[in-house]
Amino acid sequence: MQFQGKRSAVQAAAILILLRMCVFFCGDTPFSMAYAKQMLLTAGVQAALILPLLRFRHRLQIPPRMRFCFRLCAAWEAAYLTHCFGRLSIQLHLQYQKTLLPLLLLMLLYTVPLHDRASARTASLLLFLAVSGFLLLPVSGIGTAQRILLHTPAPPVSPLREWADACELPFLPLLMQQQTAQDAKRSTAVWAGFRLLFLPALVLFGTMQNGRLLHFQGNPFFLLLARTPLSDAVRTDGFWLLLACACGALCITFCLQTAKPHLQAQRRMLAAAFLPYFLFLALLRMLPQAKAVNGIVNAFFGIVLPWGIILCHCLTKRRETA
Amino acid sequence: MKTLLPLIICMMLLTGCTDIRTRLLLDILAVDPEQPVKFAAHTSQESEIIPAQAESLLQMPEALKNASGAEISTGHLSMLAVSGNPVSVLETYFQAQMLAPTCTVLSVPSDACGQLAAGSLPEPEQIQSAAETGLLPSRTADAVLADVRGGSGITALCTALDDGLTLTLCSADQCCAVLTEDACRGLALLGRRWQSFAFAAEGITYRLQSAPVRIEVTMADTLQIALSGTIDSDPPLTDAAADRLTEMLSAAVYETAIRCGADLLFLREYAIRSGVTEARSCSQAQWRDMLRHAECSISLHQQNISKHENSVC
Repeated sequence: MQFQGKRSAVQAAAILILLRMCVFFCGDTPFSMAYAKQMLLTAGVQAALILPLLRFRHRLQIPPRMRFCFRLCAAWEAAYLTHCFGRLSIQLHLQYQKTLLPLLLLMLLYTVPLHDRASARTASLLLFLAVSGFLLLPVSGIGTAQRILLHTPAPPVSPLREWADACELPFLPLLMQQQTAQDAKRSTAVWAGFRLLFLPALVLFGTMQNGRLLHFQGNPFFLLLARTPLSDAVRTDGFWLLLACACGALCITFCLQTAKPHLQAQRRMLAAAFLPYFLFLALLRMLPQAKAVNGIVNAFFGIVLPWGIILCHCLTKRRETA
Repeated sequence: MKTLLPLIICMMLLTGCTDIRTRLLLDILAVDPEQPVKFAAHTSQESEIIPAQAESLLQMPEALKNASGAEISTGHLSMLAVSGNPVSVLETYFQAQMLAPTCTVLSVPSDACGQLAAGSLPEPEQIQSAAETGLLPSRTADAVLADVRGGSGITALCTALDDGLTLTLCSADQCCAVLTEDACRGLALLGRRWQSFAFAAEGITYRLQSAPVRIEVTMADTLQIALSGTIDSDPPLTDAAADRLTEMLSAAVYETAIRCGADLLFLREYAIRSGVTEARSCSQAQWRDMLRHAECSISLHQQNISKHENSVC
């Protein structure tokens, strides 16, 4: 894990939001009231467990041995996001599907060695673009949205899915450390607002647009785009497609930058990040069911481990005082 | 900029946004789903019709590519015309993402390809204009499939007959009925996608300014469908004009829901909203059955003037 200077609140919030957005763009859960409710419930639980961490932020010092685990976790998240990205390209029938992985890897070889401040700045820029797009979406779709479709009967959504999709959780404690107390509070509050308000609202809006098309075996977000008057094509919606791809590439880059150790030798540093990434990627390719583990990884590294570290710190301190 | 340039090139390659200009953008596609499947396509770049044949529906892009010598993109398709029942064709193309959800679907009794080549199919603009003037409800691919998958399993499709455009009710495997002009207008009125809606009664033409008709579905011994609304028209509605509107609305409900069990008006969702528990858990066949035994009442009000009530079905 490299710590090259402090991150601002906007940059940290942008990275956290884009990580979740990336999985959202690649998701295949049909938009429904049940999905929005489940999303809200899970986000509520996650926020309730994460927000108190801010109070003990000064005690959240990851021990050097534990950092290796966090690096492995970051490489796993990168592999998971790559897997999701591949699924998106299949869902959207993108051209060059066979060359997708080599192209992405070439790109990562170029972006990962860059200064990690570059990815943080790009994240802020992408978030600005995404917000602009999302502001346009309800404006253009308000005429075609039908509120009665919120009552369309839909199958229940598993809460495990929401945990698996919360790829930003393991990075929350890491980013908290890289920020000032005030910035950490701000960025975590923005993240919580995004998860608790924006995403469920977007799913509800999608439900009002997609409605009864619950059996569509494709990407519900791009279906929503195609059904709004903003665009009239399924796959050629350039802005959103570029945004989704940029989001994916940026998030994978960020994960790999987090996964690389702080070493002088560039090659060893890259090898330390890319080797576990390739291993996990191969695992996900051969055993797609392994992605179900992601929910546990997110909960463990995002919530259990930070609270464990804080508890250990408190106990040690009490023992020392005694 | 030096840092960004390789990234932008990679992005363009990743998204496939590189060869748009060399692709032929299909505008109208006609399909005859027999064996072999026949296709005829009109592109937005060329005026000539491209004919092709293939073993299956999904081979359409390759077949048209071979026939035209250029890559084919169906992302901007504005009308899909299919001979016979287009539901299965539509479903195949929609799941394969070869079809824009907002593409208009047209059912043709026979030889859709021949009719496209002869220029006898209605233009997509003609169908759109009918939807905007309240002659027909808007029936795009997504709406058609949503009713098949999510409603009662019966949908309405725009059909080109010798005497003009109308709607046909179809399930996934067969066509059930052809709707009357009144029913089509009633559905258009309830669909609220019209921009101008004019109708005549006793020699006077009435233009609707707004007609927010409210639907309530409740459960007594049978389902009760209640339509009520305040109509703002120019000139104000007379009793005869209100009768005429009521006829259209009752034809829409009677010919779709009560006669065929078709749920084109989100009746199931309205029932769930009203707390009809059977609507939440029943199968499509059971819901069709419940609709066939439903009763309907319509109550229209002229804004600030009079009240007109009519119980119909």
